[in-house]
Amino acid sequence: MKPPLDGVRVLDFTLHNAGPFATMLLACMGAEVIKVESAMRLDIHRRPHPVYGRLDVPNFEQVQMRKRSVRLNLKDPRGIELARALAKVSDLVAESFRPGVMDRLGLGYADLSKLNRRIILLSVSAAGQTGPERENPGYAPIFGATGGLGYLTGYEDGPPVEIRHIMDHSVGLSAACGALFALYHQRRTGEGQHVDVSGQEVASSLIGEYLVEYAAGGRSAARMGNADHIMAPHGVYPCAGKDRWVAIAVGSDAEWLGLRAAAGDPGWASDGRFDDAVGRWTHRDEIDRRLAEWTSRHAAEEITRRCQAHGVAAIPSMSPADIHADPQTEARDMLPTIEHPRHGRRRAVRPPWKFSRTPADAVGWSPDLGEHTAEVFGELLGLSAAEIESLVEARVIY
Amino acid sequence: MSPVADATRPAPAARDDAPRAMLAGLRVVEVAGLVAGPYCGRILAALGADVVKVEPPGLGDPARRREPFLGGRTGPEDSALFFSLNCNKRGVTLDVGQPAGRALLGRLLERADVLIEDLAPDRKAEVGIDAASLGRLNRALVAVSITPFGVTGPWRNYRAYELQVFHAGGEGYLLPNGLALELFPERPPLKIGGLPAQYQAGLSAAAAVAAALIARAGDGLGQSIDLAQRDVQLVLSCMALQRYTDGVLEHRTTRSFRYGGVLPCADGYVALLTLEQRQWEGLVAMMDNPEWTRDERFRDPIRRAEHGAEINRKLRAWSRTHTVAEVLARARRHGVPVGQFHSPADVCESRHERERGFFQEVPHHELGFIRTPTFPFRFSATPAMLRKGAPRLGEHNRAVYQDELGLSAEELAKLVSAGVI
Repeated sequence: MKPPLDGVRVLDFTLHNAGPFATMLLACMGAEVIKVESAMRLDIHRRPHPVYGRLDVPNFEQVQMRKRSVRLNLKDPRGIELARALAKVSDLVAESFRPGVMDRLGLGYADLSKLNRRIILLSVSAAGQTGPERENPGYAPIFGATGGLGYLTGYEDGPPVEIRHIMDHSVGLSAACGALFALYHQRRTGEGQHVDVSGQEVASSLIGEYLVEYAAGGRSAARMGNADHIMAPHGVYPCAGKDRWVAIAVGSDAEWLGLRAAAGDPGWASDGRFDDAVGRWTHRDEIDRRLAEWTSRHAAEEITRRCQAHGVAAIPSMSPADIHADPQTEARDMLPTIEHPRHGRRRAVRPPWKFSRTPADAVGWSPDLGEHTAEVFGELLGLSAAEIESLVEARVIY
Repeated sequence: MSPVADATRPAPAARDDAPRAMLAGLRVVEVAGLVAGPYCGRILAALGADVVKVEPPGLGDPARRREPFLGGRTGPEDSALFFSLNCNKRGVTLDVGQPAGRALLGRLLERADVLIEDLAPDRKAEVGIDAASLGRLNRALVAVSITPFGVTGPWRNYRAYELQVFHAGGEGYLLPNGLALELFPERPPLKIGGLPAQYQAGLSAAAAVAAALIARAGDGLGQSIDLAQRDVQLVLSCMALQRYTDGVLEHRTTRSFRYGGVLPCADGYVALLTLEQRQWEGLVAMMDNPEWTRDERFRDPIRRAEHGAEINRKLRAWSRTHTVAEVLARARRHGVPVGQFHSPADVCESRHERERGFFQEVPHHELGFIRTPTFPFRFSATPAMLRKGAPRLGEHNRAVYQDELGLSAEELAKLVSAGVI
């Protein structure tokens, strides 16, 4: 069966992580994604990243997988003309510049829709395309903070926490979701549109219930570590070994009885104060101390096995190494091995959905810079090898 | 500013020239509780689909009994979590564990376009909504199953809440970083606040439904989608998983930003990040060019990364003597990426978000209009609209079972007294 986005062409100007994550998901669903980039200003994964502590340059980048790469100099008017020509034969254009940049380049929604009325423009930015703060710069920890998610993350008595790539990737996931609905609408009606995705609104959307709580006249919520509003015990407990932990949560009286059985029915746990949810929540610090005494004597995997056998939610706090070795990841083929003629073998992460009919979770390598320049300009725009060569010499393709 | 629930505020008038809803006419059945499935349903409902939410009789969706609540009330119609996730839907009750309940669910699904469900893997066949049964019932149906670990694999029946899904996904082990970690190095790894893994699963489910609808627009055939909440976390954590294959095992103690991150100010916190040379220069300028920044050790990005701890000491000493507003104003002037850690109140009161229309006034049956977040993508041609509040438990039983499925009043009453509805 063909993938769901078979025949969909995406022209991708996005940089860094958030936008590229979105177009990566579309590529895995079968879209042809053409990444437009340039040696003039390399995307973050093509250069060292000292602030992150990465001084090497990887030859595989997950968020770029299955894309084609062309070089294009958008500072040259002829580069813009080529970009417009590609947009004319595309279904969706994705970008993550500061708001206003695409308009200045002549690639804004008004320009593109004149060229191609079916076109969807997907814009990903820190604060959105409109509003007084639209020009604010932003990386994931910043829009994670301004959107409220960072504020609610942290120990109860400590500072807020920066949210990292998972924030960028949540923005990308949201953007892909918006793009897919716009593509569905385009498929049915032929109508294009501008889809505006704001990183800080992605963060805010993840805490929607706390915004509604405040808006209805309630309190403004605060950080609460690993605790839950009603469940107790609910936390991450130390296990045998260095820096090993297990996450345990009890959501009902039956699960509490299950946990007691899993722990070998210790005397302390039969205390009547712990018999109902309110009692357990009230005395949660005491339960946490007792529970930690038990968990710290066993491996996280052993605690997990015993708890799950008694219907109690438990899982080790898993490191990347744990995930690369776990049987569930293996059974669902979530980290398939991919191969490249020059770069060798490695593992990629599969998109999370398993479709019964139209496969939507393909993986593959990420392109080298400009790897598909000749093919794309040749096939899609009909440029000859000589024309391409002269554009390279003129630094239009650069 | 006053709280924003305001019973006197008028409903936005429906306009004749209002843009057509993108998913008008699409029929969705939601057999799901808490956050993930309902968030998927909410996205479809806000885009104009008719979403019928099926809840167990009696208690209903567990989200009805979860904090946070609306305005200090704690009844089944008062959960802020439930309200925010279920606006724009219709609600019916149905016990799908009883044969009569299964039969009615089947009738709803015969005429549906989309099913969103979160039943445990081993319960699906029992209720008749496993992939094979659904394929026989309605070949055009797009059915998405959302479970913690998916419907296959040795962990498929593992129990998991937000905490487990998150810690199975890779990011949990890597949090916190930066300042929080420096202050509390011995504490356990930390979850992100709230229930984000559930929301991310709901978003993923909605994306998958959209892709399956695109495929269906081609050949008229639906399909079933197996979505694992944990798998969503894996792909969102892909950077750390990728780094492992590059030969680097990330750990919360080693992946903090070498400098920058969370800065304590006199009256709150900001996040600051300077990835480019010009941004570092802006940072130096916004601190009024202190002597220490001219040190050889901070000359280029590599050396700055090596001496990041020293930079952070100086940076935090500076930020502690300035208010958040001062730091933000200076950062804007010098082009330094900085953002304030906004509380829920700050987000609700944000002029920026008001002007963008991120919030819409959604009616609650007793509390008036409640300012509710829409969602993070804005469509120019087919905007999302949250016109109705969340359904009360069983509010649309009569409309759905009598008016649409054609049950008589007597049949309905019998099913109600048998506890099916």
